[in-house]
Amino acid sequence: MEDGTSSTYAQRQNQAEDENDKLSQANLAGGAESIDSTLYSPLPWELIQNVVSYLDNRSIKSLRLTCRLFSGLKLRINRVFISPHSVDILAFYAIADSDVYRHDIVEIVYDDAFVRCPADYNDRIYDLAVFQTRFMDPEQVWLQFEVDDNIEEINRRYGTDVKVLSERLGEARRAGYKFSMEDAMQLLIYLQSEQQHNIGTEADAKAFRCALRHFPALRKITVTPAAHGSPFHPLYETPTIRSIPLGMNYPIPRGWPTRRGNNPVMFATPWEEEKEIWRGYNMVAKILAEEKQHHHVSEFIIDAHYIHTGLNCRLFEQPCEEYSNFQTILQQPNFKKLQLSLHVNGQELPNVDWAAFRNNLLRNAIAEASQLEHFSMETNWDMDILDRRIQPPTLQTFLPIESWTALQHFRLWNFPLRSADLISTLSQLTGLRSLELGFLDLYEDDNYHDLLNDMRGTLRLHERPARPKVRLAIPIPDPCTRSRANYLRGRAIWLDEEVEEFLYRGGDNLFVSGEDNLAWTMGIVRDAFDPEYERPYVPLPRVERSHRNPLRFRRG
Amino acid sequence: MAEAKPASQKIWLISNDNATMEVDRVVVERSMLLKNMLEDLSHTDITQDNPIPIPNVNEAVLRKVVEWCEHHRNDPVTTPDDESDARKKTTDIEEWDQKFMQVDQEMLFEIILASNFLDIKPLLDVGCKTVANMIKGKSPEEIRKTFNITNDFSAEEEEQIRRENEWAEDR
Repeated sequence: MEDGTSSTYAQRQNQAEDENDKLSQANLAGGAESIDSTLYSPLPWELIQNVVSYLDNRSIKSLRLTCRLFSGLKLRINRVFISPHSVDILAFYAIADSDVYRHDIVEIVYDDAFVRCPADYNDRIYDLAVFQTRFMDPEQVWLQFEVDDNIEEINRRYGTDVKVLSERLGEARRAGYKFSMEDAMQLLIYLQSEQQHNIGTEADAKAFRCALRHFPALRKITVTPAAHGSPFHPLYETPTIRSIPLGMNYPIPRGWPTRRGNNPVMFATPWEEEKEIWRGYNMVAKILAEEKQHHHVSEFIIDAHYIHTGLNCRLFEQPCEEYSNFQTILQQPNFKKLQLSLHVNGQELPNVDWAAFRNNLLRNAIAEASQLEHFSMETNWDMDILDRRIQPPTLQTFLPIESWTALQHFRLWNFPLRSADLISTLSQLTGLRSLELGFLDLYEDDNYHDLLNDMRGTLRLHERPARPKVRLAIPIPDPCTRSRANYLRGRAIWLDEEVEEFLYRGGDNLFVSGEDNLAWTMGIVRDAFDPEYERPYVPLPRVERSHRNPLRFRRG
Repeated sequence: MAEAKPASQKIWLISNDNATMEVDRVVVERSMLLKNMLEDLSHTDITQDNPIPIPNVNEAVLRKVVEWCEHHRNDPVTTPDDESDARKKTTDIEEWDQKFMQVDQEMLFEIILASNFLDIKPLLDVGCKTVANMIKGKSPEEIRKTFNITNDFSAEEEEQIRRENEWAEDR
């Protein structure tokens, strides 16, 4: 015993000496006689790595630029971005060619935020602006409208938050004033033209195909129209987005159909009619299916990230090439994680009646993933819809719950349903470790109060051997319209602690008996586009709706 | 076999410049290296005349390390599981430790080296976080000034690093 210990001690001493040797070698390798040896020798490499583990990439980048020795520090790169923009494609090939970095890549994010200049969305506020300023160049009107809307969005999101406005956004906005409208227009025209060129040459598709073979650790593919995030808060720092000057106010491209403010909802059209809108998604899914022998992708994330859009659910109405591709992706051995963001508006119409959800195609495709551990579905369902004659489909109509023996994580966001359906579904998911429910639109007389009671009384989650972590989020009501659907996208009241208190520690029900209203002031407001934003929820007093004047343009 | 150890048991350490220090055993045991060693020794093996040698660590540094261990003598020992959670790569440092780390750079690096050698993980982390905080948010030039680093890049090398930096997100 004593020998063993003393040898450990001796080993330590030897190690210390070795480290000093290594260090002096590093100094020599770093090469420069001109360098004072004290400059380079504060810590052995292993401890420098420890220091670096506390730094974000921004600081690592600075450190790498100080001298040769530190230029050998590795950047933290485990995902790459692909889009029809050249900066992204160039960065992608550089990483794919690098033996230092390509082994670390586990995720590819495809940025499907197609740039349209001007956007061709159906927008009555914009139409009104064009009408009222009909002697002006429509593109200019559009641009002005968009950049003004960004500032208004900032004010809506942070207007009452003096601290944030003055500290962070104030800075970004001041920086933004350096840029003229012409700068923003030039940026858009440039992005649009290179996008057109790269789509023509299929440069992004070629890059994506190459990616599937070049990254041995690749397991996750994300397709998102939300990469640009909310004004001044990009969701992802793709090389393209980082190339846009900090603080520049530009119209935010989305690609997939989104609804602006309280404009009328855009219905999902039959898949074949407008499938080109989802070009990026279609390309990614097609190549994933074609290359199925050459990759081990086990996580497929279609992420609208709360911006009220998604993949057109009518893809699942009848068999088509895109449906087959989706099915093939989920057939991959060991497929583990699926996140679906679906564009569902119009499914509730009597002549549609949720056909895409009722006809078993979606269900059958998901059932292919028999080892699924993580399922998440988010839709752009309009919670304010008044015509509630058509009942939504039950979850078990389109989700193969009975085959989910390995499911551990279940998330449902912004979907209409009945409480009993949800309870019955959850009762079959016995291996759950986490459950996230957000913006549920409960039909008939169902309400959050009774739903929670059933989760405790009927589901008896507290009696499960592994109590699942439960998260619950509800909308912040719009102080003007009381709308539940559209106020500050990405913001929500999170009730995680209170729900756990109620379910697991005998706390009070969070909601007024028989209602969806909170029983007392509680919860934390979080922002999906601003991770630092976290405030206790304080109900806003109802205010009279003010009409926006489209002519109130700020010039220069 | 390890023997029952009285709470007030003393241990003697000797620095590489021959300073002997008397320290409570519980304080010494913040060092996993020394703790493991002591567990396999009889408590009579270490005496004032036969102290444990601590190579590579001089008196001034050893006194600082012992001061830290004294202050944190009752801290719970972290398990590797806690660690991955607790670390979460935050660079927050508790107030006492922040003041403790207000030393010149040479001493800071010496403390880090000593805590690494003695295997005192929480002290090592505080030290590394302190250095990380000295780097955070600074430009390359500011970092060079802070740590007295000479820029030995050629223009081409620097440009190459700049290009590589563009591959990564800032977060």
